[in-house]
Amino acid sequence: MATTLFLPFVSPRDHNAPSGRQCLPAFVVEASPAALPWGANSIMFRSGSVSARAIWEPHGVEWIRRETAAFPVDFNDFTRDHRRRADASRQALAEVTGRTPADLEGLHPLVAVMADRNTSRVYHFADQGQWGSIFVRYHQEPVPVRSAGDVVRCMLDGYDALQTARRSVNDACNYGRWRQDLEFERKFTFDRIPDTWAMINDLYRRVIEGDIEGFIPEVNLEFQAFDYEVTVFEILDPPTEAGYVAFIPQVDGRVCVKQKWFRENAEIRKETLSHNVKLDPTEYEQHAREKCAGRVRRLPVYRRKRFDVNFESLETGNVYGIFFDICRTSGGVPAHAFSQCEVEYCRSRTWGPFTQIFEQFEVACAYAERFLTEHGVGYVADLYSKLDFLREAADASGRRELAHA
Amino acid sequence: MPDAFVAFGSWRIRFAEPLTADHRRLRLFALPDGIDIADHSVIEDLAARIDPSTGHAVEADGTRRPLAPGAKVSNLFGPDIPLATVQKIERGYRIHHRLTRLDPAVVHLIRVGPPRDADQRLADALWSAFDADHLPLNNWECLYIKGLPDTELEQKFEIEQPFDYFRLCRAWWRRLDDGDVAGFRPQLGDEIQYWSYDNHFYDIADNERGDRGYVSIMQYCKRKTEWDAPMFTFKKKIFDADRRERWERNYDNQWVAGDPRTALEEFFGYPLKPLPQWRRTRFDLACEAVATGNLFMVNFDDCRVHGADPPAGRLQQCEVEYLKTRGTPSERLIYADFARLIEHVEAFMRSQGLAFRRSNYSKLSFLRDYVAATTT
Repeated sequence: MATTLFLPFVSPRDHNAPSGRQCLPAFVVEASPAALPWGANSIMFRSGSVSARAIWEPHGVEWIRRETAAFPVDFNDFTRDHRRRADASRQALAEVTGRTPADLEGLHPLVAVMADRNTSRVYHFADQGQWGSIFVRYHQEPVPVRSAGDVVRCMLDGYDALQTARRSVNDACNYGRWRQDLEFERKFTFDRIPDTWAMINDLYRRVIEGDIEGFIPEVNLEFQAFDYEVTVFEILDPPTEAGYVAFIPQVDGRVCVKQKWFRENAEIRKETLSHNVKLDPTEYEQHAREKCAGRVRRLPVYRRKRFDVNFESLETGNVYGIFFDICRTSGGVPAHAFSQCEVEYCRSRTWGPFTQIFEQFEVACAYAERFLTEHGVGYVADLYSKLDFLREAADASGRRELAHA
Repeated sequence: MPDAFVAFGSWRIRFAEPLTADHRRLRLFALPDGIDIADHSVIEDLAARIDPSTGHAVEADGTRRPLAPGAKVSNLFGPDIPLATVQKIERGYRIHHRLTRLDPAVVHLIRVGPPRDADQRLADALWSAFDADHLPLNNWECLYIKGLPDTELEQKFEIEQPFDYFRLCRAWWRRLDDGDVAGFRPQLGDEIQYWSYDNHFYDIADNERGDRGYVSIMQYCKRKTEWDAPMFTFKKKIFDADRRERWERNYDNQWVAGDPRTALEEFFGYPLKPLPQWRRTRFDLACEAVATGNLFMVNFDDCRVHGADPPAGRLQQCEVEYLKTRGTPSERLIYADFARLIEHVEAFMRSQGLAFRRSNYSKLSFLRDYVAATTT
């Protein structure tokens, strides 16, 4: 049995009512998922990627299947192009189902079922952005779904799971994060300062085009740029607090305080971030001392220009980022600069246990290395930290101004 | 000859990186019709809006040269990026908006501070302008300042007919994103927010502080440790009567393992009276007043008491609410934009055949009224 996609069209008003039961679909579209990016954890409904082949409609207690000529099923409405396609799709559905396009405005596939020979996975709408709508799995059964009746049974079976998952359907609530207290990243330090903007553009374009197999651009968080100063205090003692405290100014005059704990450079480090702290720069050092209850050393201020591309796995929901940055000392100290690529685990858009965090991290790192090699960028995987950079700048040793590509 | 342009140039200018003469070469294209250079924000698909035939090059020293035929304009992914809107003035250029966000299909240019006048060496002037304001301009999703701190400014509407929140929210979104709400564009980066969550809701009983209002647990959480961790968001709203401005604060990422009422009493220190559990479903459609950078949201929500039989226990309202500002908030401008947006929303509701009236009827009043009606 080839994989089949079922889209039960429900009334969102009824679907979300606190009635204590799953509302039933008005009809179910059966479609081929051939052009659809999907995995065990999520489905990315790009407009133009679903082609209907049959419609199931209720007839008493039975569901009647009717094959149709293929037509595109689109329901995104984020962009003007989405809406144009969705309007055309509603027109086609109206002809097939005998409903009016206006009636169909009130019906939407908030649930999707993907079925193959052994497994049926039930997904729920999670978010929408420029690339389309993303659905996340909340229920699974080790039996195939072959009919709209099976689809309804699956939805009813999954109702209790959905009551927990629906907390995650809210805005910016799709995610969990493995070990929120830890930062998990690998660094590739460049031997010069490459054209990081051209590189991030190319990386982003490749991610959009699906070059990282099984991953899509992270919906609504896919491409970001940053440019800020950081004031760092190295923690000298006690040894249990070894690492640094950093102060990053916010636009509203408040400060983000970051603390990292590490004795030696490592891929996994304890990290905390406190936003919206009211501090004047003259209070930074005292605040750093209080954070560690010990001695600190002020290091040169540096400015970090950072470009991020984030991508999420359809198989697990894990999100990783590849970042290119340029760091330069600022203020009245000799110019030091360096440039680096970081690959980081960010979060997981999943409504089940976290899986493959480490395995997929290796996939992301391998992709980053291949990308750097293709761009002819010389690098070392060396865990070189910002603290190393600032110690060298303070001591006027090590790297000075690196050559531009 | 137009006097207003969009200046394209090297990313190195935006990020204050060292420049060569090549990096200082700019391309200027006529500012497309319909973009008001006096606005606070320009949020446009410039690649689609700009006429490439209107372009010319400006060298590092200000020398103007024609562009070779066949010039192309991109948002992202091009050899240069849209840096600023500029106006030709006698001694050089006046810099108006500068780039703050760049996506494949949209560019966001914004004002930070007053316009900056430059001589003919525009690239150097842009470099300095970005360098001076890199914190507000170059950090993704960071240029927000909330006016009216701790105050919720919100206009509600009672709508006479039962409505389908899903249709109405989508219809408003279409109108907004199609550019048919004059002076407002979707809030780039937070356009559509989907909500449907249960609430544990409590009236604040008589207390030593004299506070009145409600506290609640909203069943959602933005920073969960596990997907099913019992983590929620608390809300506290202090008001003695239904009104347009109320004190409000949310408390994120709260772990509630036991009884919700006990958790809220311990957290807030108030004695509480329980009200029925209810569910709130809506989209928030966020928009930006392009003249000022003030951000608002519009929603059509569907509130239902658990287990009630509609229409009993159902509250349907429209809300218009001030969120925050991209820049320095001005209370006067917030209220002026708020009034304009309300007029747009009212026109929209009329176009949908809805009868409505302005109201400050709160969820607290709704639940108290529901209890009174169902226990008599």
